[in-house]
Amino acid sequence: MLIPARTKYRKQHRGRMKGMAKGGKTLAFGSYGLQALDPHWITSAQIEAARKVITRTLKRTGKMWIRIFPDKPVSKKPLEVRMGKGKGAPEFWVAVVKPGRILFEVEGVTEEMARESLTQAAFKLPIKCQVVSHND
Amino acid sequence: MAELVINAEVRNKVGKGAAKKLRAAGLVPAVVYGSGIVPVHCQIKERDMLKIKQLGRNTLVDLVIDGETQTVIVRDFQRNPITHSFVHADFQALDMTETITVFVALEFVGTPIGRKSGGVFTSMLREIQIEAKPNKIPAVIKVDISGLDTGDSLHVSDLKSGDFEVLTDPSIAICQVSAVRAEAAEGEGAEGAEGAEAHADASAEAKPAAAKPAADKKEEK
Repeated sequence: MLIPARTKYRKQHRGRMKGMAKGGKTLAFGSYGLQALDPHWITSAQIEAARKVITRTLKRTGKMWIRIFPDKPVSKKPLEVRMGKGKGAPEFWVAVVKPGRILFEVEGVTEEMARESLTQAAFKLPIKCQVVSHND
Repeated sequence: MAELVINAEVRNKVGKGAAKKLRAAGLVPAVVYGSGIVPVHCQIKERDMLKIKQLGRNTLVDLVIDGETQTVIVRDFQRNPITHSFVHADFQALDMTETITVFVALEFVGTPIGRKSGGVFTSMLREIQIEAKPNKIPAVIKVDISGLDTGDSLHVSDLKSGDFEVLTDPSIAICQVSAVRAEAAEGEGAEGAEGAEAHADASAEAKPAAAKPAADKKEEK
């Protein structure tokens, strides 16, 4: 799973997810891509699940790129612990995704295959997505 | 001379609010500028922009604004990244005797030889910048990729220039046919090349605790 190699600070504020993605809205590497339509935190486990589906459906042909990286730590307090006594321990990593962001890209396969693999990958994510092509 | 004739209307109201109302009415706010003319804010129908897109971005257009015809080219346009609807368009008025700089799309023709042996064709560049007279701008530049074997690549310097001058750096690669990495073939069936990398990461440790920050101790103090 994707996690940062090292970080400057262990914990972060939650932040807000207002508006559309500022960058990463266009295809940069491949001919087809999966674009987010909702704002959400995508965990490293969800990215890994989607990546596995894409590589499986591409059947070792073509190339794929992951355009997001989970660089935000999410902390959680243990079960049955009273409030207070400080922030919980970091539990998992997420990528902050806003509408318009390209999540995955695919190249070197037929349109049909690319759409199929990206649609399957979208099922592994907690948001609505659409498949975009460089001809759009 | 132009391939398309489009009617435009001058718009007197500019700004965010007025532009939003235009878009809701199926129009696209636009501006026309060029050397020797006063810039004009105008509006055109969105379906006319779609026509231009279908014919190609560098299509010469006869823009009729208040009875006056001006030959223009689409210099720039913005689109909504999700709905792909047009948000704004810039038209540049043309002097047919002078050269202009435009981006022209590349069209890859043929099937690379390397594909038969399992190579993956990847295009790194989809358009190049050229300088040409307006009536000599090609719709697309065709690139023959049928001779590419695994490991081969094409560069901008390999393109044949016709009635135009290529401005893009000649050393930039256009496309390549790369071999599928060995790990992908040997991996546990479904996993791809990246799978091997990702698993290496995962084996380190799955929890964020793995990413021990250098500044941790300082922070805790």
